Amino acid sequence: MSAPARKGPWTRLLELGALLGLFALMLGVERLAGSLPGEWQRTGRDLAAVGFFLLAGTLASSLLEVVRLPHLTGFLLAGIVAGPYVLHAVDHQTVADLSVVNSLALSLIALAGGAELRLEALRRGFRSLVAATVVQNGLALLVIPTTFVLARDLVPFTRGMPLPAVFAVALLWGVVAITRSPSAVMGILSQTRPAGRLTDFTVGFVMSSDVVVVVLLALVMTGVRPLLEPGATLSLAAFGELGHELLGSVAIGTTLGLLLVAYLRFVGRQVLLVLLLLGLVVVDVIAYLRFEWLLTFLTAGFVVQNFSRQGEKLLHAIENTGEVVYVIFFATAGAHLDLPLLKTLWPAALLFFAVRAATAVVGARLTARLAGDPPELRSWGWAGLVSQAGLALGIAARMQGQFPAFGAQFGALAVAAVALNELFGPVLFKLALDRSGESGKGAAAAGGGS
Amino acid sequence: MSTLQSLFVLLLVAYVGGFLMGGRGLRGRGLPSGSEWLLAGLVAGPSALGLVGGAEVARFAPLALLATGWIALLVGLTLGVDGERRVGAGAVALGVIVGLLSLAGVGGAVLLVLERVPAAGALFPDQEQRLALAVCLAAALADTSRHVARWASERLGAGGPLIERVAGITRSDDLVPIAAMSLLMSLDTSRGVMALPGGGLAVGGVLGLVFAGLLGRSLRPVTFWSLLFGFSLLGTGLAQRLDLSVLATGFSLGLFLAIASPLRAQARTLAGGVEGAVILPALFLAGARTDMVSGPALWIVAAALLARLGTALLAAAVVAAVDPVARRGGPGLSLAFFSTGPLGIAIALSVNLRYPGPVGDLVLATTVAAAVAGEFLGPPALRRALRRAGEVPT
Repeated sequence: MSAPARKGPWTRLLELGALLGLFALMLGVERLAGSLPGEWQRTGRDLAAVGFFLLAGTLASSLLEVVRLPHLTGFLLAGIVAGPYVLHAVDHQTVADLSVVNSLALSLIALAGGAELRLEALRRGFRSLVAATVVQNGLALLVIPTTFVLARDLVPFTRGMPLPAVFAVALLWGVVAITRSPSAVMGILSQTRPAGRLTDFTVGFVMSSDVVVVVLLALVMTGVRPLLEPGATLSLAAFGELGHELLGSVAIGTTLGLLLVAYLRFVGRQVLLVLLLLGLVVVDVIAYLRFEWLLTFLTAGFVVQNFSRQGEKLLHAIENTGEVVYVIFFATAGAHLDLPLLKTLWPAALLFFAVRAATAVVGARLTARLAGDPPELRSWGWAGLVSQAGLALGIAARMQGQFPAFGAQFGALAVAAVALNELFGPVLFKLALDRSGESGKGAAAAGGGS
Repeated sequence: MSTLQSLFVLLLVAYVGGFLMGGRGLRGRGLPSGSEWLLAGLVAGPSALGLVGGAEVARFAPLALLATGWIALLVGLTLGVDGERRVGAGAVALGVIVGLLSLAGVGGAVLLVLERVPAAGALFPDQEQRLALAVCLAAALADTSRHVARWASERLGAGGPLIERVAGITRSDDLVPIAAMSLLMSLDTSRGVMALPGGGLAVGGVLGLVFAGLLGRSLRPVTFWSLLFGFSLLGTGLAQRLDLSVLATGFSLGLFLAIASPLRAQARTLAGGVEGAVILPALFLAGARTDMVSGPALWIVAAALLARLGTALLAAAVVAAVDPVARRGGPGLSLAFFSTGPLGIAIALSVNLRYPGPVGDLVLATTVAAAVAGEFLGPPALRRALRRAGEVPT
């Protein structure tokens, strides 16, 4: 991801005009052709919506740079405003049709997340990382589900649920809460070009946290299923299956990673189509085989980065493909946002956002004491952990498939909380890098080096 | 075949296509206009072996639509440009004349057969349907493949004024069929959308200008791709919703981007890099959607193909009469204008999607037949003409 070029006021004005024009165009066409039936209309609606999301997301994110908000917020906002609950430029059916892009986006995120995990950096900050992983995740899994159970009156879809079921949903919410945002972290890093302990720690923690989340998600989903589905039982066999699933995923991921290394080394062309093949077809094959495809892709990325010299090539290819896919993914997520439901959920979303951020601050202080971290980590080690993005939304989307009884409302609450985290997280992380004096040090080192 | 398997096959086709047509050394393998992909689709499709079923072919209709829009966008982006060289005004004028001759010749022949052969006319009793068939067939066959000239340059190593002139003409005649399709579709109100004459060209033009404005003066590839995909998808979707020509919208989008943006050369390079990954799957899909023609409809196919051959000969004669450079190729140059390329197939595919049934099926089948026949007649004729002109290294 390269730093955005500085844009003048005329460019911003043009972007704003184009954005407004796009909304007007979509609404005008909806008025002209909205009532026409037929498959041809649906095809046109879907294609126009993807194009619109791409353009509106790109323009909105560029405009939000002025107020230093991250791109992701722009993508989400474009989707929310255009979606079926605000302007209705894109309807429910179209939003549902576009959900096919989710697996593609998540596979790319997982692949990139694995490729960002560099063994050398992991070894250097090993003590801090282990301490933070245990403390941050342990504390979050204790405090956030407890808050969820205590504040269940604020969460309408838990009303009428027996307490064990509420506890199960709270644990699932805890897993969502411990996800972080690699894309948001990388976006800030590309803007500020920092270097130092805080930077290394945040990159290592956020990238490795994906692995922790995937493992915890599998464990928690297996564990809570009997509490949510009366017929289901928890047995050791279930954990045996889980172990088989996780080990199998790592094995397939390793194989996939080695295949990718061979491909990048000996062929190296048409990487875009290979990524599409992975995201659209291989994901389904792995899911059909009942393996954990997020872990598979994380492992594959990790193998490519650390057991070959092809890591940067892979990251570069994902970066080129990713932005287009992410815009559609996040804009669709924004359009999915059930605003009427949000009206009733906002107190809960705000509460969970505040508790999650406070937990991260306390966790950072505890970690620093345990690992003997330097002052910048003690003061600001939490700031890069507030952002949430694709993985959280992806997990929430999976919940909808796994637990249809409450999955949709769970997803809406997740999008609301993620929106708040994404709004404030990157701002806090940038502030931390500036205050700790690490901003610009990476660029200076690169300049000096050259 | 499941959706997953179909998707896998299509991505594989795109992958192989990208390899064969990506980067330098374009058309390093295979036939000049990629007709083997048409035949592969035809053989694998429901009309022959049925490896790809009718339901799967129908499921990929949105991708086929998108591909036609994208091919038209690339054509618009490179209209009147051969590589990095701008084609002269003379070649552009000749290209338009060649396109108009073919359009008028084929359209007239089809209408004549429908009028004079009762068995053929009985298939299309409605006058509006006859007009649609004639215009669509004429438009699809009015394209002379630009890939044949590329093939001669890249595979045969041809170079000189004659090949430049042929390339210039084949890169300028696309305006005619696209304008014809734009007019036909924008005036057609059978789907309940009001007539918007030239609407496809207008929508694409506005989008292309906004695209150029947003692109500015410095090109960041990631932003370029977001905008290119975004405008292309939006244009295709809006054209479909307003029942306008997707081809006209894509073409106009590319053309106005090329006119208004100072980054046109970089845009051509970037967009051209994925040409193979789009064109060859589109050809495969077109082949798979093709139904065999039999009975009185063969009269129409034969009339269209003969008219196409006749207008190719006439076009070559006109070009030779006004252009001394073209005369150096001798009479062999005539058949070089018989080749129908991916744009012709894209036009036929868009007709097949817009007019499902007898009109769409007949236009696609005839265009596929013309493309395959042109593949065997056009390139050898061009090679002979270039040898005669001394433009092929011995």
